[in-house]
Amino acid sequence: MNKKAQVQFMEMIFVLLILVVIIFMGFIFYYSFLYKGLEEKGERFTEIDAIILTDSVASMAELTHDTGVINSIKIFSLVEHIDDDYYKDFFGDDKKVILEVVYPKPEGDVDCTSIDPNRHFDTNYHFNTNYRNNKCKSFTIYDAKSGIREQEIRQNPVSVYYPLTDEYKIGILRIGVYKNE
Amino acid sequence: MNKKAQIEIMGLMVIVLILIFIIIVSLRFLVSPKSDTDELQRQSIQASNMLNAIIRSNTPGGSKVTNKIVECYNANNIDSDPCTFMRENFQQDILNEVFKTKKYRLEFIATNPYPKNYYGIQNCDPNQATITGSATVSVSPRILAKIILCIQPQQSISS
Repeated sequence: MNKKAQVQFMEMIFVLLILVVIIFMGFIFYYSFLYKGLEEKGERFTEIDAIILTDSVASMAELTHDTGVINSIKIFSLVEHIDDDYYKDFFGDDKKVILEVVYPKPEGDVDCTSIDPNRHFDTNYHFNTNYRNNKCKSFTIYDAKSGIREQEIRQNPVSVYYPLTDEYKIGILRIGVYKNE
Repeated sequence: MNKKAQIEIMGLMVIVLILIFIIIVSLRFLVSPKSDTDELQRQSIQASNMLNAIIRSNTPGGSKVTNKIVECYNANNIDSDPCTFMRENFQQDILNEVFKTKKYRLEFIATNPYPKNYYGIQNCDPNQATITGSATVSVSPRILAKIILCIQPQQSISS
């Protein structure tokens, strides 16, 4: 092979090398954007799920007193049936739903419907000891307890009705999702 | 120019065109602004829910919050007891608790004889920030309550 042919051969290899690098970079860009897009879509769907759940909880016949108003006594009866498959499907297998009362502030900081790991829940005790004495700071409506870390993804102000005193309070409905990472 | 040189220039042009195409596609993904329309709607719904909950709520003393709002309007003095009550209760216990990092302005507007803002609680000046959501409800036949959510420059909309 003469010298000119060698130079041309080197030139062709160089051009091919650059093309391969460009194509390789293109693939990296494409897959990084694709992966990022999938992650964003995943987060977006989780968020939409939480928004739908927030609105659904605030309008559940089992909980509401009026449109957008949660009846605090009804939470006690709902929690007794929360292990039913219907509610597991309704809330999802990775969610936590808490109603926190913010105004007027309760006199205690008890979660009046939290369930221990053995799924034990004493309605009468919490109702007579804490609810009647205005010590219920929050109400756990549903807790899947399906992951290591729980992250709050949505909150929505709601009105909470107390039938025993015929009063309304301001609460925040907090939707959390469990993650295993 | 001989034919070989022309072919080489054509090859160079093809490579340059490919590079330009890749740069344009990359920039499109990197620079394209995200749409915040959904988030704005959600924040307006949140503001509306907040207002409805406030208007319906009782005070720690058992009276209605709406009574305090009307009393503040009738007192015609922002340092009066009902107005001070509103500032202390609404700002510290309700708005800061619910909105946390979000900036807001809660204002009360007298509609008679013409719309006039008579009282406001805020940690964000809507005139100097971007409004991200708002809602208005009627407290009484003569009074409207309005919440404006806003972001200061450099603050994320979803924070």
